[in-house]
Amino acid sequence: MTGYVLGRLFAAVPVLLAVAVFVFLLLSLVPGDPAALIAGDFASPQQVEAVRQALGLDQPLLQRFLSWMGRMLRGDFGLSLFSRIPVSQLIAQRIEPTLILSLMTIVIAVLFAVPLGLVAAYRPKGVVARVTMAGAVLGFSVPVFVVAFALVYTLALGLRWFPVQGYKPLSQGAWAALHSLVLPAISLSFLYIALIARVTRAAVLEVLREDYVRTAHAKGLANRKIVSRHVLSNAAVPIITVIGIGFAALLGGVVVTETVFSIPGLGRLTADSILRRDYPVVQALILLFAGVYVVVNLAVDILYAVFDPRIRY
Amino acid sequence: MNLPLLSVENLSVSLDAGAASVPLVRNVSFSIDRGETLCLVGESGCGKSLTALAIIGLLNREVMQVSSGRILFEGRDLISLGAGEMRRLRGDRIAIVFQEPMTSLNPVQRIGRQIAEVIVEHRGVSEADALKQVLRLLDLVRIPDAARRAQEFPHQLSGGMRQRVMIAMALALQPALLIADEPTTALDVTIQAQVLTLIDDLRREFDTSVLLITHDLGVVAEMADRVVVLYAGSVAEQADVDDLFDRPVHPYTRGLLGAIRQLNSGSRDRLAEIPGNVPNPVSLDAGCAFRKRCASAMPICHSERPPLQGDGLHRSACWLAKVGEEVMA
Ligand SMILES: Nc1ncnc2c1ncn2[C@@H]1O[C@H](COP(=O)(O)OP(=O)(O)OP(=O)(O)O)[C@@H](O)[C@H]1O
Ligand SMILES: [Mg+2]
Repeated sequence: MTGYVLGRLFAAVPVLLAVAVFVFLLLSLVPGDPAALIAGDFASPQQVEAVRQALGLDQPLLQRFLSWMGRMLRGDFGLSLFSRIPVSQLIAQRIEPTLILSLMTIVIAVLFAVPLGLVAAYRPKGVVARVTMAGAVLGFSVPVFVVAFALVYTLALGLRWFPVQGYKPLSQGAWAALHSLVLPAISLSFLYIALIARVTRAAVLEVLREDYVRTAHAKGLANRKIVSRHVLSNAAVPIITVIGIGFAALLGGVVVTETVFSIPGLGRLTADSILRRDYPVVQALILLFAGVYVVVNLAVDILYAVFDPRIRY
Repeated sequence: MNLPLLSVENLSVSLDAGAASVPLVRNVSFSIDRGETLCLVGESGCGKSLTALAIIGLLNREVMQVSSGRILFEGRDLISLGAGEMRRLRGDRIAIVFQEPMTSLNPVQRIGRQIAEVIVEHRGVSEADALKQVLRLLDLVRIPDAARRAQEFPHQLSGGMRQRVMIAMALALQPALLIADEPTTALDVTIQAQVLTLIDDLRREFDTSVLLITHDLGVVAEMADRVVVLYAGSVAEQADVDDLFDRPVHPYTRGLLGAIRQLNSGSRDRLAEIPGNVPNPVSLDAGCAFRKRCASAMPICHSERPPLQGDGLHRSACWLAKVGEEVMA
């Protein structure tokens, strides 16, 4: 098992390296003079030259790459061109709401989707199956801001159970933070419920056809025990995969939700930085998201091995 | 009272194919006494597995159903038994070894736990106690190094070993009836003999009744007390084993026996010697299902299905037998 995990870790290194090269070239090879670009539209030639030297842009490409990588590895992502705050600090401020929102969304989604997918697989012609599958189509096709506005209108403006928008940081208490993110998490979760329920249903349907499920029936086990001991563990791999991918995608892709609910998270930081051409921030964010994908993938790989001994040995 | 342990009466199983219903097992009747081995033989697709699955209540309900008949086990009709009661019998009083040893074990669970599960379920003992019994069972089915094997996963075992695990699981609670569906076809020849010997030893030790399904008349000669020959879902002939080998009536049985005799003289092609194929169950008409492959087919064979007849011990479904009777009368 340790060997397997180390192997997966090493396999991640080239991926991260490739992303790093890409991110580096993105800035070095944009058409035009990067120093002029960074210095801004109104900079004097002296200022541009100063930026060039400060960023080491007058040195050969490989050397620049190596020193840039060195700084990245030390966690020095430079200063934001817009706010002049260190990029690492900027990201640290913004990561908390996004992380909590993503976790909440995925937990809500799993709690609903897995049982729904299971029932839909067990009773393919039943009411739950029909409603779930029709609902899944809706979940895929209704944009998240529509769900968000509907929820705000009813639960926030109507019933006043939740705030309309905004985020209360963890420093004001865990409950306050969670409470402020309930509506955004619910609106985001619809898509993921749809996704995970469909995958669960398909995976379970496949397992139910297996001979070892018939063996479990031949032992005289009740359906509930067969599901918990034989079906779910065998259907786990695709379900875990889609949960993992979903989680990684959430961390980097909650722009719309964060905007609708005005949550100061990574999604909005990403959108703002791109619009402001704040390249150091964009670079750091791309690296961060790539890192998240790698870590989530690693976690998924490890879970595969936990569930399936054929991978472990 | 001398009731048979299992008595199958006029069992029919049909496939729901859309609006139509295709009979796959028709009017099959036989009974098994305690400690007796009954062999169900016939070519591939003749309904052997479906008969077995109907008895243990594991037909795929979405497409298959028992359309008529009774299955009396220890005096109770299994077909009208409630799901819960049937579940209490399965694994405990009636156990089955499936045809597919490679895929019948859960790939992500240790085999010790898989066997223990059936003991825990029916006896309510702790898993630790059940695992101790598992070690004895693994010894019983001659799996060496039981303690280590119990910790392994199915993919670490050969096909023969997996089939032994299935047998251990089936015998865990000393069932009154063991159904073994071609328990050796997936295994190589030396292992086949070992597994069969094992089943026979265990039958003797626990007075278990065995319903053994096989293609192989060599196996029948070794193991059976009684034989039921199925053809296209119906009983072609049934008799005590010696009687069947000495005085086969149905041309299909004779064909099978001819095949085994050739086999003994060296060619290893099993049942392929009977020319032609089993007819598709959908295309069966009013005539005898075997007539297209039968050298002695008569006009009546095309128009009417022969009834199963004979004395209580030896019965066959062939117009030849009828003609023979009338000639003798
Ligand atoms: N799930 C199913 N759906 C449709 N037809 C089926 C199904 N299961 C079995 N059949 C058909 O029922 C008939 C009898 O099948 P069965 O499995 O009982 O044969 P068998 O005698 O056990 O054959 P084998 O020796 O190959 O195991 C075959 O024609 C088969 O095609
Ligand atoms: Mg079969």
